[in-house]
Amino acid sequence: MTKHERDEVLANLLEARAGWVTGKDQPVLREEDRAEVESLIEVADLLWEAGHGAPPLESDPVAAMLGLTPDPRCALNPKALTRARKNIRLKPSELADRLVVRGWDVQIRDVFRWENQSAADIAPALIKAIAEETNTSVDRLTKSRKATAEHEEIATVTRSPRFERLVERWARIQGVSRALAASALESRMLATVHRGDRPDADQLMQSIDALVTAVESGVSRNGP
Amino acid sequence: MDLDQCVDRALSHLDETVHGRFAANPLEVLRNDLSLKVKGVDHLADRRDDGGACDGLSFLQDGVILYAPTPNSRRENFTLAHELGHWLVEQTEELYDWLADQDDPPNAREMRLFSGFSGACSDLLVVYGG
Repeated sequence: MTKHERDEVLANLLEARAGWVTGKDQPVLREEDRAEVESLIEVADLLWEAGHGAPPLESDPVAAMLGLTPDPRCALNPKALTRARKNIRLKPSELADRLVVRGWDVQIRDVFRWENQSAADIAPALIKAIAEETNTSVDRLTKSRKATAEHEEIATVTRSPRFERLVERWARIQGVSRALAASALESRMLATVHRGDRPDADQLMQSIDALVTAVESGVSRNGP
Repeated sequence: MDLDQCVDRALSHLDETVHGRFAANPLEVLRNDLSLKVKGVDHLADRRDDGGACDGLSFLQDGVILYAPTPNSRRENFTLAHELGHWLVEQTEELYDWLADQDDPPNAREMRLFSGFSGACSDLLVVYGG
């Protein structure tokens, strides 16, 4: 097959896959040509997706405008949330249920974490929903985001090349994008529970590594 | 609901035979009965520059528990009992509601609850000779 013929075949196949009626007969390919054509089509699909797919949520300006990504300037205030929730005698489980009805993927453990551990990863749209459900205003529920020791430790971890490699592994295990994997691992660091002092940056990094390895292996009988 | 009732409610997720076996071999119960991925990791046992110590850490969402290994010691058993406590709270939704409504600071109220678990497990250790 000449280069011109191959281009012609590829164009026909791509048009057929896109659902366009070309009125041309589809060529019968030899096995070796079929393999090559299939691999080229796969590359074409990937290029199309890269050019047309939605960007990761955290770098999507539309998502930011809709309040679906955490605001770097302000965050949910844990104490204010507790106060607002108690003011209307709402249990954490009831608040979680109300947010689920609104379409948010929230569990009781999340509400508990926002009040007692960290609420740094809560998007403005969710804060607005919480404010409405607790009969208060967004202003009363939020505070300006300050650098805390905890956030510094997490930032230290997420800036490292080792974390990048863990993100790649997590993305592969879970079958998600790198951006989603990075966000999931960051949430894990915020939500972890522990005995004794909070893990420092080095312990966090090694613990995330151990988490990825444990889930990767799927083995429940890891030796000490 | 008071503290003792909370502990009882949470421990009801484990049957009597599991109580006994937890006291004798906590690792085996966590791994085999509760299907958790439990791993002893040196980085939690190492000395920290700031002098702090974190003996155990759970990623509940993924069923993964990491702990500082100090084989057959009371310290290790209590760490595992503490992490079991986190797992039990996760299984007993009303405990989150109870914890959230206590007036003492979050760390103190969790410590009370987990001391309750550790105490219960400690009793079991004595009863079952663990």
